[in-house]
Amino acid sequence: MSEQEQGQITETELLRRLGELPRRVEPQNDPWPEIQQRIQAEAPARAAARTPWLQFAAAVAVAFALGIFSGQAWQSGGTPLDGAAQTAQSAPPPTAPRELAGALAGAELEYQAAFSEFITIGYSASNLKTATLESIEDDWQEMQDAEAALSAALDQYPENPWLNQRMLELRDRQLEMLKKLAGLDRASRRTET
Amino acid sequence: MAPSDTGPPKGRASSDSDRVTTLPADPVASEDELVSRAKNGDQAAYESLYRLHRDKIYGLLWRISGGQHALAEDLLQEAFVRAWQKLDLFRGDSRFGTWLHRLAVNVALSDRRSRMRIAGKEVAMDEHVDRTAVGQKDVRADRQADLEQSIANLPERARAVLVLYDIEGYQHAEIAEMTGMAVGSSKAQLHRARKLLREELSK
Repeated sequence: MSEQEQGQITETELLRRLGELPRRVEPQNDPWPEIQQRIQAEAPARAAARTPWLQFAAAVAVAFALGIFSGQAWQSGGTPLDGAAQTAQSAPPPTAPRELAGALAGAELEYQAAFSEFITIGYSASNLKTATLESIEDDWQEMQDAEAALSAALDQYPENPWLNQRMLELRDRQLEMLKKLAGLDRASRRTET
Repeated sequence: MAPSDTGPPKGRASSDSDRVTTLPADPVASEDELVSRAKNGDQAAYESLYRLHRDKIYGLLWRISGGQHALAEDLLQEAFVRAWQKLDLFRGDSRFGTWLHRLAVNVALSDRRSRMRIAGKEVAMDEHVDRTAVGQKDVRADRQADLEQSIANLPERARAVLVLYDIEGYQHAEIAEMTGMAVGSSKAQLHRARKLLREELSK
């Protein structure tokens, strides 16, 4: 005797009826007011988490953590200025606000001076390997992006110690890179002559 | 079975083509735009998303909770608060509705697991769901109400698998992942649920 003959519905019939059930069901009480109350309660913390400078700072912090600015691909050959750069890099970072501000101001002056005297690497680019040149350009672009992000953040929060510390580190790395590029350029000129 | 004891709350089960009664605050904005605005803290945009998805999420939660309105509304609230908290994690790899649906399932199952730990064993639903106002002379509505009541009466684990597989369209592997049971157990629970339903509906 079949299931239907026994009076029991078939699995096919059950599935058909299940398929007819509405997916949408309206609640008796709309809980939106309670939901709104709860999400409003945490709105300040959420807004703080979305503050632009924190996003910038987070991006810069990740870049530092990943060693993006180390430029290892093209530095492995070494330059006459490696020793000086390492010394500058290994100096303990200042922590007191006044000390930090002074260090940053000094780094700014040194960086701007080095930048104004910098002879573009484009002069000797033809003597560099393509991969090396691309690595240099990528590293420089990363630093420029980080500088733009940090500068924008510092415009809004000039007293923020974390941002100032990161800017100081960035300036150190930019200065280090300029010196390395100058060394590469000099070496390139010697090769040409 | 008394068909008048069962059925969707408010007697209003809206079909997929039947839009929610409250229109989104900004009906012109696309869902992607609403998500983007909500991610930036726009609560009005989030309310629009809530209005768009509320009834579908509630339907799922109401069935998984065995037709308990108060519990389903608590779960609905919890699901949307948790979704708000996790919005930053939504990367757009899937549709927002899919992501939200999955999150709601996890909320419901977490709640079920916690209640089961307290009870120490599975318990069949014995709470009557509210009377439906769906036309009592409508045979189809009566049959749907019978079916909803039978689903509500299923043991919790079997009910969850049946709702997720036969009504919501999840695969056994997905259900196994969400419930923490083996794929074979999910299949066995589905078989058990269907068998119990057929017996119940044949009385």
